[in-house]
Amino acid sequence: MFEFFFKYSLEDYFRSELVFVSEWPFLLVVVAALIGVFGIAFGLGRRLRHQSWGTLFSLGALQLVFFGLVLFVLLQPTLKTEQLRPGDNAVALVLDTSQSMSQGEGTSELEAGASLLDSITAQAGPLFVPLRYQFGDGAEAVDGFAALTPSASETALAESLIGILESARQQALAGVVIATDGADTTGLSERTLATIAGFGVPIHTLAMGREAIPADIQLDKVILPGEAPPNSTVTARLSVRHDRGASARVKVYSGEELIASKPVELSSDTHVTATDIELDFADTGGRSLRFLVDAGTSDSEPRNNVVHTGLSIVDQSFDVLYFEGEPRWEYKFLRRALETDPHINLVSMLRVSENKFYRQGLSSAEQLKTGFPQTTEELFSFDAVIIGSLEAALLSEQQLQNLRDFVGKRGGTLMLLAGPRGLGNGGWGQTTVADALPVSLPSSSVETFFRDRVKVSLTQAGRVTPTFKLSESDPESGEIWKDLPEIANYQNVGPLKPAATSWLEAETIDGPVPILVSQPYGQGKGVILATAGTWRWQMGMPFEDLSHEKFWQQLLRFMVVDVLPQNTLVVNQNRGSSLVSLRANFRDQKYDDVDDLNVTVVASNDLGDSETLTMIRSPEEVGTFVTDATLDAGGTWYFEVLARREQETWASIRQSHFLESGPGEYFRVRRDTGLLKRLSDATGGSFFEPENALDVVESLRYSSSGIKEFRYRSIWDAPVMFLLLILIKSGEWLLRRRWRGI
Amino acid sequence: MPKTRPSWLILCLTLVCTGTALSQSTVVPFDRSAQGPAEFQFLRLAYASHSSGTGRQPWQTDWPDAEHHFVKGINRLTNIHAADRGQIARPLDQSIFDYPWIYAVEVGYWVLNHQEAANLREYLLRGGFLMVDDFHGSWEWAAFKASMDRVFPDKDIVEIPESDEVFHVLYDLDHRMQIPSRMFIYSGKTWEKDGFTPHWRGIYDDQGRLMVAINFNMDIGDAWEHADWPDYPENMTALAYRFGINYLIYAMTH
Repeated sequence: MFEFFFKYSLEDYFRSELVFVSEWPFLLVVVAALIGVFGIAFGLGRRLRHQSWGTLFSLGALQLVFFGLVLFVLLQPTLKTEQLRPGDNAVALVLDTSQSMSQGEGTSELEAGASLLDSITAQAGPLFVPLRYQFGDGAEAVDGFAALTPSASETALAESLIGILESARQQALAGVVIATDGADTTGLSERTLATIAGFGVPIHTLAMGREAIPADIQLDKVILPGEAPPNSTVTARLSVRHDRGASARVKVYSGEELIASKPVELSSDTHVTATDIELDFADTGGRSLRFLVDAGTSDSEPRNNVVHTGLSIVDQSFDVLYFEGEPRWEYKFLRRALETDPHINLVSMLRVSENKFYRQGLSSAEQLKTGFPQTTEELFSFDAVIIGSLEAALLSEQQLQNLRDFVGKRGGTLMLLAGPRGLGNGGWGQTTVADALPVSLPSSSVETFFRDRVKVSLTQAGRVTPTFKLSESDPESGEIWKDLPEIANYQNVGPLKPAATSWLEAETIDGPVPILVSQPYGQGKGVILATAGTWRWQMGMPFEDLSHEKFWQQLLRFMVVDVLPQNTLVVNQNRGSSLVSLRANFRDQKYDDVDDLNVTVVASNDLGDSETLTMIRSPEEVGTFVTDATLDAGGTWYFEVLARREQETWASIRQSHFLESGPGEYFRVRRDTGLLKRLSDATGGSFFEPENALDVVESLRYSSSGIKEFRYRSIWDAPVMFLLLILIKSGEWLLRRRWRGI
Repeated sequence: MPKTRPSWLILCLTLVCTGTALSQSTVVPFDRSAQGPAEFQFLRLAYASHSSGTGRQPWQTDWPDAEHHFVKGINRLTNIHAADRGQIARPLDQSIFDYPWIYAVEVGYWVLNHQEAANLREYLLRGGFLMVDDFHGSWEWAAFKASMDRVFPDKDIVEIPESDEVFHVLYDLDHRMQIPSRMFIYSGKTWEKDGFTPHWRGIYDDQGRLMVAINFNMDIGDAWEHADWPDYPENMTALAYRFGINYLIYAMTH
């Protein structure tokens, strides 16, 4: 309809510029306009005595519009459009030939994509010269798409596109049309995206494949720490992708030995289910772990149900500072509970009398000699800090600031215990440390500490986390929690902050109150234990019972297991790719980033392969050094990072990482629509579903890249112009008849 | 006159029987409502015993003034929040597990049966601490040890070494002396019976932590009790407070 009245489509109007091609001089146009306006005014002015102002104004308006429209038509309005010059430009037509394109019902995604690209070529006619490519682990020019098969074991989207854009640099490339499922196996970072966008060539994406595959259940990823101390319980978090509800079983093998197994229900309400499984490791050494989601015979692609990873059980210990303001039983029993944990070094300082402190667990006689750490370096040497019944005013403003930075910057864990001088009573809510705490503590003027015995139970969050399990079996653990004696006291802590999680609660005469709460803050976390009465779990249970010890040891592990190390190395491998990204960070004792270092990394494996690489400063982040390594062999690799300053070793990091080998395509069977849209948006291209793929031809016609020409299309002869002229004159005639012959 | 003789006889017999019965019972029952809002509450062990011949149960010795004075000292000299009133519990009473520090006096007369010994053993292994005091000489030692051996048949009683933290945790108790009972004021003797030499002995758990502090041939409780008696030597009282406080701080830190 629009095209009928206006000659061209609305899109044409948006893409074009309006110009006038009449050769009338500008002065002539002005004179003509003035004559017209004065002529109309004069003609109507003569009738002023006989007609009202309203009537004359209406007539004048219609005549002016008519006159203006005539003048507009006489000036010959024309659309000026910039578009590709036919035959002078090339367009890269790219087809994904990775194994994931073998999916499809009847016709494979590869065949569908080839057909679409051929149709686009036919539709475009002489508009551009097609350059045909296939890509998988790299791009390759081809003569046609008909003979291609989905055989590539990788989808290296970014690398392939960069290769195509570089090879076509000598030609007038108007655009790239890529038919793919976007299931990239090598990673597409923002930095890579910016590199691709830097070529200035729009990339149009044709989305192949399906976002949901109900027949397939896939183990997406497994998250577990790279290292853990011996005799510890490591929690692995599995992320299972599914497009239907199902019952499955998670199994974990160490070598060939099944070490853990649990059922998992995959709800039809969600596409990704996360589940935790606990793994116990007694001895030091490396472990090669295989995680499997067994979904039975109904799974269409069982090859994506397995993830291999490695774990090193190493002797490591964590330093914890416990600062207590008054002698109390919790202090004694907390120390006793942690004494048997070889991986927790508990250094404690107890204010025995107003001016006397008693220190225990010292690494040297000088440690904490001047009291609570005065400097950030001293404080940051600990992984976690526990503050007992102590008024905040005992610490200086600088010490309080350091304590907040201990959580936010150093990445440590701060736990405040209940007490007559602790939490709200101690004025902690009015200090700078309050930001790091998971609750909004009440004012110090309100009595919040009560020596009433109350029963503690796990909250919903507490029940599902392994941290607070007191036995391997869930029902048994539940029974133990039920049987624990009442705690000796509790403290009201005020409302929880939005990011806080309550793990334990107690039933009081005023209703349930939170007992153990935590929240992340900056790099670390803040924890509140609103009691100093868990010692009754020790004194109230048979001495052989280890529930109290277990609770404290697991709570301390929870506090320290993910604290930020001073120097870190992150190894990132995309599944199925031999390309490994290494990223190292170095910090001084104040946890300030350090970047005036020369950093090298040696990667080696048990097969005798070894590679030495120089890590370069990241232009984006201070204190970060990056490099990429191509490590073809799968299995455990050992990375030794050495940071030097003026030929002296400043820091070193040793870390092992299990690299997976083999194709990653089975894990990328679903279409990644988000990635395809990101790619087209970043480069100025468009995203197309297969059903409207031919629209890409029009997008290419007006591409921002390539050799272009201007096209002029007149619109003065559009039907709408003449229709308007007739309507205006007809309207004037009708008005004159109504007003009797003026 | 002949009629009055039986009345007097009956009255005398009644008084003797009543007195005997009273002396065999726990005269101060455990009062749960008296649990004060405090971190520490002094608990005295009300054990069954041989008669000490004083007409009073041995566990009651110095009660309640000893703890009354000692608690005041704790509150003045330390940051421990101590309840003003003490508590009393029998060895079989489950309430002992709510008080991780127990005081037992005149333990040369105590008789712990197997059940009581087992309960006390359980208490100590869970982390409780026992301070025993005011017993003297070889006969009382043997009586004390007989019951203690029922508690820990597998553990030795040893002299606490000078370097032990219990003698240094708050006060450095390098210069120790025999703390006598108040009878010292009249007799001038710091010892009783054949207990001429004071001994600070103890029983340790498997981790080397002191569980039982044994103050043999001395009377710390008397020194607490008579802290405000002008004739009792001040230096003895001061030392007795220091011993008590060190035991308590040790019990709250180890």
